[in-house]
Amino acid sequence: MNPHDQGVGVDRPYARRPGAPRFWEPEPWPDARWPIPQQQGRPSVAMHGRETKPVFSTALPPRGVSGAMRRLAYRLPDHQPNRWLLLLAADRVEVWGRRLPKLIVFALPLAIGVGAWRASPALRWSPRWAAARRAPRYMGRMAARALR
Amino acid sequence: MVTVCSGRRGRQIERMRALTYDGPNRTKVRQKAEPRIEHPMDGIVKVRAAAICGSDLHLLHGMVPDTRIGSTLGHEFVGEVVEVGPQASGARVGDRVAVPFNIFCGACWYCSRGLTSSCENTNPANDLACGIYGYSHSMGGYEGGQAQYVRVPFVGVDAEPIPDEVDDLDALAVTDSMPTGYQAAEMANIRGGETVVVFGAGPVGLFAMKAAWLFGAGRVIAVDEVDYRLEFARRFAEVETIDFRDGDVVETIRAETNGRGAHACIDAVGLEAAGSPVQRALGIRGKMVAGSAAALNTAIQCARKGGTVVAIGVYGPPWTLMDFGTAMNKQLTIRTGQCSVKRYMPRLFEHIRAGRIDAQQVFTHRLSLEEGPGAYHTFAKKRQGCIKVALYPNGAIH
Repeated sequence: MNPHDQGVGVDRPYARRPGAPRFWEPEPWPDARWPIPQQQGRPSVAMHGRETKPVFSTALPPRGVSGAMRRLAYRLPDHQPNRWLLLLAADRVEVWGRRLPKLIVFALPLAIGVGAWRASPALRWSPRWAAARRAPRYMGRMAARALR
Repeated sequence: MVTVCSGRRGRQIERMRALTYDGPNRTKVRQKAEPRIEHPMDGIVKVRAAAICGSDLHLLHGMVPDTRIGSTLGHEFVGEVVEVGPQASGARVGDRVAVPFNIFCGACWYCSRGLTSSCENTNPANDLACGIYGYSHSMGGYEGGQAQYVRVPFVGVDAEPIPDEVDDLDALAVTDSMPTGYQAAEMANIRGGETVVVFGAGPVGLFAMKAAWLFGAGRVIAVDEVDYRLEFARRFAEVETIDFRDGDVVETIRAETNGRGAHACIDAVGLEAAGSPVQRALGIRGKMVAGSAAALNTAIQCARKGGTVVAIGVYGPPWTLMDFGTAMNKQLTIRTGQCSVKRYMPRLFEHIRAGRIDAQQVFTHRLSLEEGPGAYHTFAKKRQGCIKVALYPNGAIH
């Protein structure tokens, strides 16, 4: 036993333990009400086939493709793993739905730049690019010959 | 709360700052609309201090299903009641309160039995647990406490007034990490003189060690792989420590316990556990299972036959690669669960007032809300000696 620690064994008696298992009769907490008044509005978690809970959050309702996936997931009962996998997939879709538009800001000018660079007169005379351009036609001819 | 603009029809919109999820490994401080009373038993709490919990990192790493971008994080907070609904008896404007992370009605079958973490009236998403602040839409989608203001459903039932002599930071620990650790030690069924091994020397693990002493453990051993956390555990909880990297932990524990194993093992690590490459590959990197159960499996191996394994580290749906066969053959008792915080609060305030637990020590980082995104990474990567972070959304850093 640790001699330095204050309070060693102070909660050893079971009567001093607050829970797990609880040792007193069931009773509502002070200031609790029953029945609970029903909250108005629409929950941000779209549950199907379940009774509405009296209290819920309305923050960030499902939107877009990820929202559709989430609505679909919530049609499944929570004991089915498919439901959770679909929710995880919806999370990834939401993330990429947010990140792709940001990437396009960089990717689009880059694509235009690369296209302009390839179309420049200097590149038309590049033997390497010329070979690269001929390659698909050459491959096609070889394939056609092989099929004959 | 700042009035920054008016809406399309001239309606005044109140804005506040909140730390929000912005996709895996990203958080962002956003301006958001102020919370409002949505139910007659609601209250609005002005946050005095909020903590980053180890389980917030599961959200940060994208491991909790239905975590929506823009949702406010944080389920550990203390504050002052600034508004109450018409039926919110039990709370008054101006009360300084600690808010349990569980949102519970206080009257249902579970609540009336003290199992507030299983309340059946606050989570419309599923039947796993009750609603939790800032912990994904799988836990109800409620906005979290790492913001200037929070909507607190059932404020008169849930929020616990903080005794005058208890500091905000001490009370902050009582909203989650301390009762979770305490409940773990309670579930370990300590009768006096037993050996208890705690896996994970993070905040919850540290409080579990402290609580194990309070319940009368004869020996408490901490297992972790982070040097500064092991050192902190030796100093804070006066426990023996084992570095997970130094050889076979199971053999070491057995050697220390006459070859039998520990009476009780507490897993305070959860689904980001290191220690098994396969578990990491499948769970953390591949996200094919709900994180890594490496710590849980080691706990099962380290417990003596007929012993107890307590899992308070968070594991999520849909499944985990747990070594259940060993647990069955060793006749282990497995205890687990989200902590029903409210029933522990009065007892823990007693311990704080008696000086048995100095919770403030674990808050090694005390920062403003704007420093929150950086603090998440510091905490996640275990840098700068970080044990736990307290954020002050309304600016008063102590």
